[in-house]
Formats: sequence, C-alpha cells, structure tokens
Amino acid sequence: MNVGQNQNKNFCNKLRFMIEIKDLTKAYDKNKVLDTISLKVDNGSVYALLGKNGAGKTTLINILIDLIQPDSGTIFINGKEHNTLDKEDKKHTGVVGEDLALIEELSALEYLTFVGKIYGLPSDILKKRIDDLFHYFFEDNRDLKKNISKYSTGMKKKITFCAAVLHTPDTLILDEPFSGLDPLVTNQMISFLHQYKKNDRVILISSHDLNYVEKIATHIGVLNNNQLQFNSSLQAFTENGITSIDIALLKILRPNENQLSNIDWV
Amino acid sequence: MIGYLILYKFKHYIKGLKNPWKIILTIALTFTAFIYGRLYGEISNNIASGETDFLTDEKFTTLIIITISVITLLRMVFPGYNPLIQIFPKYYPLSKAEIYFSSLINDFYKPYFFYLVVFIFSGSYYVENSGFHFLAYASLALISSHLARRSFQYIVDFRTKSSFRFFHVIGALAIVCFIFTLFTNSSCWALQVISISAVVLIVGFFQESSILSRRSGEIKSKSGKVNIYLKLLLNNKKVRLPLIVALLLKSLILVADFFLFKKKGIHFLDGQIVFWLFASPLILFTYVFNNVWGFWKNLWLNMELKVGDYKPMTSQILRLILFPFIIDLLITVPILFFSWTDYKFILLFYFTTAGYLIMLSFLWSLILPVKINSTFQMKGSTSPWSIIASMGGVLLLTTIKINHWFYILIPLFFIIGGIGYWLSIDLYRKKKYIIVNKLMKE
Repeated sequence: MNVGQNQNKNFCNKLRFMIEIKDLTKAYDKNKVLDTISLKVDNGSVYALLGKNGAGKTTLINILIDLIQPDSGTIFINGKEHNTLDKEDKKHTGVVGEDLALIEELSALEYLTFVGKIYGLPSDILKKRIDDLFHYFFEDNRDLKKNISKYSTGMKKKITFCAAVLHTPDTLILDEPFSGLDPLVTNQMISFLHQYKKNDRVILISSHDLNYVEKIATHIGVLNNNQLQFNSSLQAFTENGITSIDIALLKILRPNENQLSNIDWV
Repeated sequence: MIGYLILYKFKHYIKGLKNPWKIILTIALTFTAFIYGRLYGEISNNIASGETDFLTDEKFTTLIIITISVITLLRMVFPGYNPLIQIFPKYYPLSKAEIYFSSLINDFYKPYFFYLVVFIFSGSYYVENSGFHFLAYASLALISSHLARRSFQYIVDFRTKSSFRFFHVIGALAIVCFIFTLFTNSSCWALQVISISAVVLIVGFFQESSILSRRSGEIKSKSGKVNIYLKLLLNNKKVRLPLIVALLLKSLILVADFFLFKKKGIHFLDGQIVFWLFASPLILFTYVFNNVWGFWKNLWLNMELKVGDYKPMTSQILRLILFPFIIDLLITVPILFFSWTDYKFILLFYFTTAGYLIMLSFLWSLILPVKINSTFQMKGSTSPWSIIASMGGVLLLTTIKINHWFYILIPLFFIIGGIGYWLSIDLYRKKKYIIVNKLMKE
C-alpha cells in the first residue's frame, strides 16, 4: 500500500459517515423535487437509492456532486461541505453520473490515461490498472484504441465506470450504473463492486434494476413524493428476506393499479 | 492479383453510384477539377506572356505543385487522423510485395486522387509549351508526397523492430530531400523527384515488411501516440470546420492584401482598422475559443468532477488554443512582414491582442457559455457580448498605428487580460452552475 492510500485510510477511519445530508430541499420554479431530505451513509455500506422515474434521484446525485445548487440544506462528503471540496478531496470521490462525461474524441486508452493523470497516478500504476480493468470488462483488446465515439452505449458505460474507480476512491457515486449493460457485464460489475466494498469505503447507487440492487446493497433509501420515505437496511426493507425487494418497493410506491381496469381496449 | 483488385474496386465504385445524388456530385466535382485545371493553364499562359511582372510561369507551377504536395501530406491529419490500412491480412497467401502494392493501390483508389488527376491532365492540356512538364512533375509530386505520408505513418502507427529503424532514418531523409526539392529550381528536378520517389517507395516496402508480423487483419484503430489535444481539435467536427473556415478566410484576406500591395502598392480595405481585425488572431476566438466549454463540454465536466478548480482548467484551454494559434501565427506574421514591413508594430499588435484574447477567453468560456448544437448555428457559436468585447479591444489597440503615444495601451491590455484570468479563477465556484444550466440541460 502506498503512502497516499495510507493517508486516505487514516483520514476516512476518523469519520463514521462519509455522506451526510441534512434537510436538503430543491425545487425547479414552483415544482418541488426534494423536500427536507436527510440521510447518512455509514462507512462500509452500499446505499441504494430507489424511486420512480422523476422521483429526484438524479437531482439528488447531481446536488451531491455539486453540479446543481440546493435551495436549502447541507451536504457533507468525507466530513467536508460538498461545495468546498478541493482537488485533494475530489481524489476520494468517483462518479458515474447521468451524463457519462466521456471525451469522445479520444480513444478509451487516451481517456483513461488522461483521467489517471488528472488524479496524479504514477505511470506504472496507471498502466497496470488500465490493463486490469480493460481485461476484466472488455473482450477485445483492440477496443482500447478505438475512439470512444464508436463505442456502443454499454461500452461507454463500462469505460465511465473504469474511469470512476481507476483512482480507488473511498466514495463511489453511481447513477444508474447498470442501465444499458447486458446481464453478463452487469454481473461482472456487481462482482467488482463486491470486491471494491470495504469498511472504509462507501458506495451510493441510484438504480431501477432491483434484482441487481438486491445483490449488492446493504442499505435502501426510497424517494417518493419528494421525500425519503424509507431509509434503513436491506434486511429491514425486505423484512429479513420475507418480502422480495420489488414487492417491498411496490408497497411504498403504491402504483395506481385500479386505473388499469379502465383501459378496456388492451 | 493486383489487376483483380483494381477491377473489384472499380466494380464496387460503380455499384455505389446507385444514388443519383452521388452521380451528380461526382460529375460536378469532376467538372470543377477540370475547370480548375483549365484555370491553371490559362493563368500560367498569361504569366508566361508577361502580363504579370512579380511571378514567372515556372514559379507559379512550382507553387501549384507545392500546394498539391502539402495538401496530400496534410491528408494524414485532416480532416482526422487515418491510420494505415492493410487490405489483405497476413494469413492471405500473398507475397510481401503483393501486400505492399495492393495496399498502395488501395490508397490511390480514392476520390481525392481521381479529382487531382483530372486537374493535372486538364492543366497540362491547356498550358502552352510546358504541358508535359507540368503533367510529369505534378503527378510525381502527388505520388511522392503520398508515399512520404505513408512513411511518416509507419513510424506513427507501429513500433517496428529496432533492426528496421535504419529504413525509417533513410525514409525520413528521403522525405526531407523531397520537401527540399520542391523549393529548388534545378534543371534535373524531374530526375530528383523520380529518384526520391523510388527511394521512398523502396523504403516503404521494407517498412511494410517490418510491421507485417505485427498486423492482424484490417487495422483501423487510432494510434495512441497522437497528442490528445490535437485529437480534441481534429476529431471534434463542430470545432474542426469553423477553425478551417476561419483560417482560410483569414489567409485569403492576408494573401489578397499581399498581392494588392505588390501589384498596385495599395492595401486591402485601405489598410484601415477593420483590416487589423483579420490580422489579429480574433477570428479564432469569435468562432471557437471564447466558448471553449461549449465545444468541449465533457472536458469541463471531467475537470469539474475530478479537480473542481479553474486553474488547471485554464491550462486545458491553453493546450487547446496552442495548435491553432501556432498555425495562425505562422500564416499571419510572415505575410504581414512582407506586405507591411513595420515589424515593431506587427509583433506588438499581434502578441498583445493574442495575450488579451487568450486571457479573456478563460472568463468568457466560464460566464458566457453557448450550447453548440450544430457546426454553424444561427445564434452563433460564441456569445455576442464576448465578440463585442474582443472586437472592441482589438480595434482599440489598432490606435497604436495612428499615434505612438497609444503604445501606452499595451501594458493596459495585459493588465485587463490578467484581471480576466484572476476573475475567472475567483468566480469559478459561484459561476460554474451557469455552464451546467446552459450546456447540460436538454
């Protein structure tokens, strides 16, 4: 383990909550999207944020990564207010956002090297990590030299994921990481996240893919009607495994099934 | 085998002509190439008959041949970098020579070469006295410069065995000789070009042989050795075209001014202050660099998510500006030197405006970003306010030409630029949401 990683570990061991949100509120014009959201994510946990389309999951993540300003409330990441993070603080965070942020003019190799250099990774370590990640997620090594603009949606997602974990951040924020991926790659990603999960790290995932969420999450948060309607462990959510995760979610979201009978033309 | 390849390519081309628009375009471009050839012939004839005193027909022909060579070489990187392609993978039962020549023929079987051949034939037909001279030289220049391009690309695309580095050195020397030959006016020019073409051809064969074992099938992947900032410029269609148009427009105005001055002793636009707008690097900024994050949104997003500080972002902007700026500098300053000769004013004016425009582009890119939806959009690709401020600054600086007292403005421009840089860094955390709101919303 190098010096940087040791410092990183000591820094994180001092904190219990790596992500802490207090009374977060956000509205677009008069349309309230998030209403006094509060949550804490413990070290070593994988927190899955669930909710309907438009529930505000992506808005919450964009506020966390400081791309959107909240109307009120505070957010702490690794003990520091989220909008005051400097370059050194950002080295502790990895993000797969809604916007994949890939520089499509470059090849995957050039992009990952660029990202690694931004994080100040030494060349030999960077080369090994790129090789390892690429061999794990891709079948054809020639893809590494292809321009990203020629990649499929799934390949783009994989490269974004590789760029997010390249510098082994303590806080990994993933917005819909499994969408657009085939089941094989999704399982690879789940296995990778299992290995990535450590006591001094935290992973926050927003996803619709409940089957995959169930395999990795330790904690669940459900956003509904602008509020965090559930915020506890996976065991509590599934009542110690008695209820499946999708049934448990439907109990909270309560879809309007009565309306289906009105659609008599189906 | 090679005959079959030519027939196959021809058949493939004819099949591709099902689309009527493609037929019309092919006919139109062939006709255009023919007309340009004729134009060359007639201009050359007029020059030979003594209508122009500052250019001889030999010099004019050399100029045309150099242009053909330079454009052929530049095809390597414009409009994008195209790696070498091996059309027959190594498992085909073909000799090294067959593989080499088939890939050469495949290279020459491109519309670019077709239209240039039409131009050369048309030109050699219409030029009086020296038709064969032009036909031979221009064809040789076309072939040699393409071979030279291939030689460069062997080095860029592949890491060849050390034992073959000798051939790369010979190849590089031949290319240097080739370029030098274009600028000489020796009587055995044709012999030089033929011998150099032969050397480049043979060297190319050995270079090809050295990398055969490394190739597997058709290689289409991009080389990882190209500077990433160059790729950010060349592979971004929305940037590439405006920059080419800007530099061409500027070159046209400067060249027109040069010829006008040489011929009639007057300057384009009477050398008034509007002319100096084109002499400064302003056009690069009003077309592209006053809105860097609009053109490279994801570069900003990466820097924001991973760094979050504007200082390293300004260094990214500088690296993006560097390559077009050097081209602009190489075009502008020598032409201005020839047509204006006021070296002190030209250098001070050019570098002061460059400094001012670069420093303020950091600020405009942050506070006045414009979403780029298409290459040339109606609302403009940079903010009108940034255009007014940039243009106003350049126009104000031209006053140093009127009265030497206005040289006092030069430090002021660097101070304004410095303030722009400082403001961009200071305001970044508050103003970065403008970029998100303007560029990232659908």
